[in-house]
Amino acid sequence: MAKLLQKESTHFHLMLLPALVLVLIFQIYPMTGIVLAFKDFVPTKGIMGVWHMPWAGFKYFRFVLDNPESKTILRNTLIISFGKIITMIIFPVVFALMLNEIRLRWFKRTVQTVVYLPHFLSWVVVAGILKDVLSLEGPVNWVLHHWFGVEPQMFLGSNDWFRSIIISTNVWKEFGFSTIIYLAALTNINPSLYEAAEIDGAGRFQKLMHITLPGIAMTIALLATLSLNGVLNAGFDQIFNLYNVLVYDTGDIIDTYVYRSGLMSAQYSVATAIGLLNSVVSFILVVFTYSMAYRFANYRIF
Amino acid sequence: MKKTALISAVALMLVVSACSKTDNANNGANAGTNNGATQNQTTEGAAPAEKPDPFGPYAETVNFTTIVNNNPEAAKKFPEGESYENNKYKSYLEKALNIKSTPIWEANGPAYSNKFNLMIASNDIPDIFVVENIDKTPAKTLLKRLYDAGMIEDLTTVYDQYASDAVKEVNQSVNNKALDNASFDGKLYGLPSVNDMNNVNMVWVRQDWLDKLKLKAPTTTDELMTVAKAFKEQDPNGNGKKDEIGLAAQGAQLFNGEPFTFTGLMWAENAFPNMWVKDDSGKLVYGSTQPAVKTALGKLAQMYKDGSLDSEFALRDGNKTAEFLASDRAGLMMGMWWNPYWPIGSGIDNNPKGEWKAYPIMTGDHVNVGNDFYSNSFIVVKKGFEHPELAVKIMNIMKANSSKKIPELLELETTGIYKASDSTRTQWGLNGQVVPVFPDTTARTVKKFDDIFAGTAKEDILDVAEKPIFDQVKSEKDNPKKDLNNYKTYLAWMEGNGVVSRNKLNNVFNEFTGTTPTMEQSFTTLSDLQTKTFLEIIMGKKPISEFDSFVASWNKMGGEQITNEVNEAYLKQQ
Repeated sequence: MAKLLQKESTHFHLMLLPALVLVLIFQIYPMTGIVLAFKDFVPTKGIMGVWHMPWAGFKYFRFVLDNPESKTILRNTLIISFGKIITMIIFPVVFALMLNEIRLRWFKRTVQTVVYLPHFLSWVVVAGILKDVLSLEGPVNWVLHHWFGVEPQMFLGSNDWFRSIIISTNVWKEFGFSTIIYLAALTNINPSLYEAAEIDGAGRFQKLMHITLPGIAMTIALLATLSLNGVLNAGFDQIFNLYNVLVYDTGDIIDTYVYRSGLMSAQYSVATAIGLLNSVVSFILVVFTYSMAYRFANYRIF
Repeated sequence: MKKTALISAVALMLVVSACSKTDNANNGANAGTNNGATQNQTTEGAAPAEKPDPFGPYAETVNFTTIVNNNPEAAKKFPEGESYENNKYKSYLEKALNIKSTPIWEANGPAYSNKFNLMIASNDIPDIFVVENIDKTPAKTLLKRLYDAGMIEDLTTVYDQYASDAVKEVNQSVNNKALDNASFDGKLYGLPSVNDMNNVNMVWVRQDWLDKLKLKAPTTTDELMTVAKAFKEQDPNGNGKKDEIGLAAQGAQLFNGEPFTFTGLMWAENAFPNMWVKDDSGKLVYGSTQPAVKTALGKLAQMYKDGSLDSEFALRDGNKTAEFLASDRAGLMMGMWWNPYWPIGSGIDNNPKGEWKAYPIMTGDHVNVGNDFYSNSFIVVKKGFEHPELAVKIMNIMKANSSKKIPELLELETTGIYKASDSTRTQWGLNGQVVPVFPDTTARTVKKFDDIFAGTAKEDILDVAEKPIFDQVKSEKDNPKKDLNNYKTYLAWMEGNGVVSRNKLNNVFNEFTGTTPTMEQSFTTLSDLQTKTFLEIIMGKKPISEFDSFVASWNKMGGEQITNEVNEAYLKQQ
């Protein structure tokens, strides 16, 4: 024991303990509930009595896989998710690089503050505003019609527009906040590299390409990897507040479907089965992206 | 069979354990019960029965838990110092019966629906509560769910013993069909409310706009279309802009009891979406898939094309649509008799000059009305609760109050703090009210009003409940629009309920309100498909022929199976 305590890494492991307990209570223990996906739900037993309910085998999984809606929902989830992930890498990185080139400190600070403010608005509020802004009589349609002669579009009722609106409003709301991490990473780059480059006669753009970008490449790779595990989670709050029956074809994602069929129609087993499928796929993706990150960015957690 | 045996075994254990705490009142409740094996057990060796008293207080305070639907809008209408927790109705009930109710939770809106479903799911139900329609799930389905799970008490005996004459009279007036509807295997599991069948879907229209444009009042679907088009195009509000929207409609709910839906338009075309109706062979079919719906959808599509529907109605909910009435941009809506209070009320407040009138949409010589059943809410008692008869007693008092038979409460409503009474204030500490009334209650009342105004009857034919309404109506007649509350009451009763009472009604019932295994799995998908297809047809994104492929896919995606199951279950019900 004493030997164990003397080991250099022991106190690090001890510091992990509180986090481990939290994970056990809030992440691992509730997972026993996933057995519901293999059970016929009997209300009298209660949520905690799930072990005593009759087995249903893979009935609910078969139902989910046979359900013609499943394909649509999965496709929507993936498209929206990847759209969000890609835009949420490009926009914050480009913005952080641009901000980094600005020499006026007060201007830089102000811009930084202003762009991350929308992050603190809830989707309920944002959706309320968007519904008015994007309506047929709203300012967007007015500008399009009067300045560009475009026929008014029913943006939130159109399958052509819905995904783009979801992805772009997500960028508007969140990119400022994500920029912070990249700005932090930028401060980590050794200034002597810039000095050396300057002596060698490198211009501003060359410094950007050969020092700044490689300097934050690791961070980009890490964040991209981390965001991939949420690929089947395309953002319930946002879509639930913005969608309607007309755009189920392009806007209905796994979470909103689970909410409608599971909670509103009380099909708990089906909802759990979908949730479990969701998690399994996410798990595979995490393993995959982790190995990708190692191969291409030489990034390892352990 | 095995399941039933299991449930009765559980029930037996619960009842026996409950009875270990038996007091006199409980013996009184269970004494004389001979029609259930489980209850035979409980009464053996019990003290001699005391005579059941429908309104009798308990010797010792009886505590029970319940839930409360605390609508914040209704809460605003409480008089000073009153609330859901503390109001005169609740305290009267508690004092009269010597009981004390404690809510285990309170919620409203979607949160209420979710909590209600979760409450059943986690088997954590209160002692006495009201089962109502939750979102799209009918109350009957929820009742069946509770029964199947063996969570609720058999009320057959306590109903026979404790129900007041007034309650029994109402149930007998519908041949006890409401009671049958709440019974499973011949035993009563919920106390049904019998409803006033006044859900005629009528047209509310700005009469001054009609007059201005010299239009005939709409009485058929086609005339309604003409009026809507004229309202859209001929600037009836006279502000020089074409900002009117024709028929005010919301797309979030296409066909249900909400105002601004197309339900009445469908009924007028002999289409009954979302209802199980009998076809010519006597088999049950789903109303949404019948050819009549196609005809009606065609007319709606025409209206959309004409611009007589708000082009974004599919994205609107009721509140958003109501703003059009308030801002004088809409003067035509489909709705119920009570709509002068909401949503038309806000229009009246903002523009008292607007004259509203109600018209029926006729189908030949009659008005079609779709009804769920005689009842769509039930009081239920948790299995094992010691005083199941308490639920009956509570209902007795609610009923007595609704016919103004309780002097203390009547005084509050005529001279006291509840004067100018608003029904939403009547809170008994439960999540709703279950008051059985005769199916033609309001029609009877309006006929009396008509007779008095025609001079063929005297005011003394009115009962205490009708008198205050009549006073409001009369003072509106004498001094038009002096008091806008009187105007709203006048509109609701003489116009809205007038449509109900002065026309020949054809009541069509939803023949099946239960649920089947396939329905549980596929109904979300099917109703999504239905709403989407119908909206697309109306908005002209798909041709009307799309309806046929909708019916085909509906059948293929489980609809056919569901129809078979429904018919099987229906035969068993009979």
